[in-house]
Amino acid sequence: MDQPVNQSDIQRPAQEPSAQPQVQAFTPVAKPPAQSPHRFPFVWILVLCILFGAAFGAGIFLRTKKEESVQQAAPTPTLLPTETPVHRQIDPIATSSAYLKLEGYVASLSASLSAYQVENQSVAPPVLDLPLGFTQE
Amino acid sequence: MRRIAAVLILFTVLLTRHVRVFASSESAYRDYLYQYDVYRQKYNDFKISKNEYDKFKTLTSKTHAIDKTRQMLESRDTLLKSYLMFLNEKINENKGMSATDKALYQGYIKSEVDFLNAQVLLVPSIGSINDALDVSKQLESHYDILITSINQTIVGLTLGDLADMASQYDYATSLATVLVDTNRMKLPQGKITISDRWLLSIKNKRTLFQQKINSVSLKNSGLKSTDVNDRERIVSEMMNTLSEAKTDLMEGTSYIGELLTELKYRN
Repeated sequence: MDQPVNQSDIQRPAQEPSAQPQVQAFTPVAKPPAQSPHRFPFVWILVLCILFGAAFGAGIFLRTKKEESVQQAAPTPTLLPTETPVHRQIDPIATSSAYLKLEGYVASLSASLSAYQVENQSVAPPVLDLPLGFTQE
Repeated sequence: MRRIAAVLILFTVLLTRHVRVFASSESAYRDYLYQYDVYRQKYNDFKISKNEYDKFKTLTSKTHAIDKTRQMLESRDTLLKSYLMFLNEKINENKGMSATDKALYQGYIKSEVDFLNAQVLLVPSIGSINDALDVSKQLESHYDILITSINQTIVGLTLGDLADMASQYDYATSLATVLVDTNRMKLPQGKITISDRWLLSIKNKRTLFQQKINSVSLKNSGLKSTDVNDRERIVSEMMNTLSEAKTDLMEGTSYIGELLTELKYRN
């Protein structure tokens, strides 16, 4: 037959050991910053912003490229026809000795005039410092 | 064989004559450049010795300064003479200058060379600072007259060059006129009208050119040495007018080219 459980035994804490355990005094440690469980890290926000900006810029670039390629499409044919070069017949005068002589003379004269310099630096007089700078004695 | 030798000798003589004419202005120009280098060196030496004398005022530095001044003054006169000789050779070679104008400008040069020869004779007698100042002041007081003569000669040389080109232009104009007149009966009326218009424009350009040349010739003959700034302004105006005259000749020559293009094609 079991003996009745004594209430005082239950309520009484376990017997303390005879030797108290040695508890080392602990140095105060700085509390870690309190982290809100719902706060997103700042670095990740920055990375996301950069990625979003790059994606936005790429989209704009691709769109403009597409517009350029649309603009560089082949031109539509115009209604006005382009002029074909007219073949000009040379007059027999141009083969005469008088004409050829004059043509050569004009080319030579034109070259001489182009090469001639009105202000020719080689005939400019020498630059002199005239006063001696002495004082009269 | 004798005939060939005679032809060769004649050819050699003509060639050396031609080469000698242009060689003389080239050699005069090289001599002028050499004298310019010598003058710059002498002037530097003079400046150094003068600065030493101004600083120390010793008898040695004074003697040294007088000696360097003498050398510089002599070099200066030699430089100016070599430059005037170069101008003289350019006058001799100028194809467009008349004999009268050549005599006139060579007369200016001769009178300036005579002045410089007299200056050179005074230099060895310089014995003091005051002597050096007196000799230098003679050139300083004459310098405006010298530069005026030089400017007139340079303008005269340019007038001669342009006159030579104008005579070539006149020859081209006469060839063009003969070409049009010879073929007048063969050309259609439209071409004749256009050709005559070109010929008129060519002659008008020649007239404009001549007006400018006459204006410059008149100003050049009356160029005075009294006011330096005024003289430089007038010389600058003359050279601008001569540039415009050259442009007239160039435009007229291009008109002859246009006339040739007009005559070249049937349609």
